[in-house]
Amino acid sequence: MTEKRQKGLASRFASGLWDFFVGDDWVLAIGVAVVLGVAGLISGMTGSWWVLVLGIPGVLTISLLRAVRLRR
Amino acid sequence: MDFGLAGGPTAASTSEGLWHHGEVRTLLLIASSFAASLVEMVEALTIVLAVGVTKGWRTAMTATMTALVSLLAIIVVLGPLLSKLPLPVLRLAIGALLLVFGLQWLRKAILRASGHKAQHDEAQIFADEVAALGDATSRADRIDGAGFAVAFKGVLLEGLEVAFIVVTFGATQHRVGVAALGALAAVIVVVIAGLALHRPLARVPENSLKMVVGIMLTSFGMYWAGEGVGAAWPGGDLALLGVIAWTSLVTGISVATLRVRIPVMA
Repeated sequence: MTEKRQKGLASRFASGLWDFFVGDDWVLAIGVAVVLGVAGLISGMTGSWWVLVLGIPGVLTISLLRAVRLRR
Repeated sequence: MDFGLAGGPTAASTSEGLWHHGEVRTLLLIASSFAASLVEMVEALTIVLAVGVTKGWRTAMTATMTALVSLLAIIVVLGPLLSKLPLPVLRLAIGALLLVFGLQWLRKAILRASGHKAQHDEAQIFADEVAALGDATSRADRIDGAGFAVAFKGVLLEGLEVAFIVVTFGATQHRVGVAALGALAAVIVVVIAGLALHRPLARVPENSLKMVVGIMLTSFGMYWAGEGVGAAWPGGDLALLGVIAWTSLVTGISVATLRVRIPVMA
């Protein structure tokens, strides 16, 4: 297998993984990471379930507004 | 009573009535696996039918069987690996993945329901696939390379989503078998319907099902990821029902708001 073909296969594999886990909007993946990070940071001080309950719908709303704006 | 993972009592220990023997969570697990698998299998069936019609049934069936064996191998390898991870890591990793996955489904479903994205139409997808694959010039007794690739990729990719949902849902509750039952039921329903009709299952309410699955994946993801990062849910396991209700409410409000406040541009 040539080096060029190997790079092509690796690139397609990485692209497939990205599509599978990140999908159409990277904001969702980054947003989930941020919300979980904040919830984890403050969970030692206080119950952080509300961060998830408010943060995840917030991330979804941002992603939806981006999709609508891009479409317009 | 908890999900059988924590090894200790939770705040919901007194809520035996509703949560007795985990019937509610078992039903939720089976229903979620069934709905998710049904949607994905309907999509895979459309591709297999298109290949069968244009390139011959031998090609379509060989590709389908090869993809199913590949999927089985992935599940057999992934399942035991997941169960060896420490519990908090497992909860956080799977919860985060379910969240990202569920939010993708929910986003698409909300955009479709509010008219900002075209509805998923199996009949149209079937027609497009048939047109893309070309004339039925292949001989029925030999395997067509292009047709094999299309059917294999379709079944593998759609099946991977099912495998992911079954393995992750099942692993977090140590009930991969229960989750697999839901998926198996969906596969049987779709295969029987496909054999009987020999055309895409256009009447399955795919868009509505996708919304329900998106709500379930997001809710389970939020719950498990929360457990993983140490967020103590009020009410223990019963909080999951509240999270599902909250996610459903947010979804309904999002659809209504996008439909009314942000009209679709022509």
